[in-house]
Amino acid sequence: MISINNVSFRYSDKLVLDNISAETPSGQFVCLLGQSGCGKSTLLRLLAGLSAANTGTIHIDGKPVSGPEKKCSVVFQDYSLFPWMTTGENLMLALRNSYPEKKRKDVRFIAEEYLEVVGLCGCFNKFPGALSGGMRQRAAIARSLSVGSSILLLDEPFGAIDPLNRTLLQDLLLNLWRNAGEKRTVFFVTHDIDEAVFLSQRIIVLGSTPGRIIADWEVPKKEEGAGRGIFDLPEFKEFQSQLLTLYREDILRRLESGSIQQNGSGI
Amino acid sequence: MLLPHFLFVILLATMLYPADGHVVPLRTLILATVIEVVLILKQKFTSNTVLRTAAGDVAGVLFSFLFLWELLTERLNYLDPMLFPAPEIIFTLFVRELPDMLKGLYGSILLLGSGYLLALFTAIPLGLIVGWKKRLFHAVNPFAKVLGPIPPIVYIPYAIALLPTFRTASIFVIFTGAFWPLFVNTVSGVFNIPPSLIDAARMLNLKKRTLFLRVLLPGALPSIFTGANLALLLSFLLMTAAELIGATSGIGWYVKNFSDFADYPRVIVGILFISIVVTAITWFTMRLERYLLRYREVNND
Repeated sequence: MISINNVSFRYSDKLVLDNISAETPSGQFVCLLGQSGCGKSTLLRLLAGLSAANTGTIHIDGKPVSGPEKKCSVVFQDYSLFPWMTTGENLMLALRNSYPEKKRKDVRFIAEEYLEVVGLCGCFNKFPGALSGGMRQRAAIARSLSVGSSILLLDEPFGAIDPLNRTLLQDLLLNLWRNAGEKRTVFFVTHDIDEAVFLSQRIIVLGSTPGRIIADWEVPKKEEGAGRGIFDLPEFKEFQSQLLTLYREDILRRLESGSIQQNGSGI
Repeated sequence: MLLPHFLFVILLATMLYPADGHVVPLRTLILATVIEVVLILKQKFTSNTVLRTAAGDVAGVLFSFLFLWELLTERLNYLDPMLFPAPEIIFTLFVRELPDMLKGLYGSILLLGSGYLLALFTAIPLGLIVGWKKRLFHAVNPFAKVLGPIPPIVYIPYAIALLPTFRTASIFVIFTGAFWPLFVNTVSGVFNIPPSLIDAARMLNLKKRTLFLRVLLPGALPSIFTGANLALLLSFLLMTAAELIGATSGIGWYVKNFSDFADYPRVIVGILFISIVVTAITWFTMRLERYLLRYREVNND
């Protein structure tokens, strides 16, 4: 159970997040949806304990978040892996840190297994620089899964990936979450409505300047094995268009409020 | 393509052209032949055309230099033989003096190594800590800004007066000279690690030791190498300078001693030897750098 209570965050003088509150039961797949600059990444950083809220509190399983903790792991859009270690060493570093009692040989075995799970069999000894963007994100996902955190925080992880690989990675992530028994809580930050609808059970839409919750909706229930077929179903079409309307209103409000100026500031 | 070989032939002709009392300069001949053989091998086995052309150009410059040197000294007697000895004299002397110079080098390297290693083992850990703790950085930075740019050569006379032996004085000076470039570059190396990598490290909750050894150190390494190369050249400079001032042995002293006696052939031999040593050290550090930073060469985006 993760509860966010009246959280506000300012960056110097600018109010980035304004009075955010939400409760998430364990095991839920939540998308934080919003346009750039709405503070969705900031909210993720607060959940991760990488930044501290100015007012309000965040509790995970009843305990307040005060800094980075083992039960959370994060995948960023880029540079999650340490480029000076091979992909395998990246996983082993995280594993050895989480399980100091395990033998080196066993840790290596676990790391290899996780790489296999995400489809990176022969990549143990490759440097991240030698992998494509999609493969790097696979490895980053493998690392965050391997340490056994109960909460997975993903900050636009597929934002810089080409459309085909993006689709593959979405399927992979969803399958990993389902196959593990839907026990992990996932917060997935994106600005892509389709991605949010396809992946999550619940979508929290953030409006911009300052970031605040403008909608907190359950995604219609998905049939098992429906896959991308859900986009043909009327209830999903309806849901998508509601999100789109919300998005459009937010854009219009931003344009009218004059926060976007001729010189490009505010974009 | 053929020009360097042509220059080689001209050089050979210059050296072998018979004249009264002319002795064939055997060592120069051997050296020129070795260069030629290396060139031929390079041209045969290097597939990279740019490198192949470069090898030819370098050999061409060497042959031209040797040719002019031999021509103006030994063959034409155009230059003052005391200031410009013939190549053969230098190379013969080089071989004869090598044991003495190596002995001198051993002492010098001991001096250089102590000061430099001391700087490595203090500046890098301190730089990592200062780069990581922002508050410490703001406290230390003004002092680094003031102390860093002082040319360490100015410390030499004072250090010699202050410290009991010449050895400790030069080690101190070399240490001071090497410390600042290493320290400053280590700190900026930590600053230049991409923020999301730092966040990733924080999320992994790494132990302090692991954080410093496996994240901050390798992350700052490219910048540390910049500092280390700078520090190495600087300490070589300082070592030689210190020896010129107060030593009774060592490679810098060697040059200074014989220049006091106006024995310029030995001075030239000493300079040649120093340049070879510096080149060897630079080559070695470059290989080490390329190996440790090899991950940067595999980028595919």
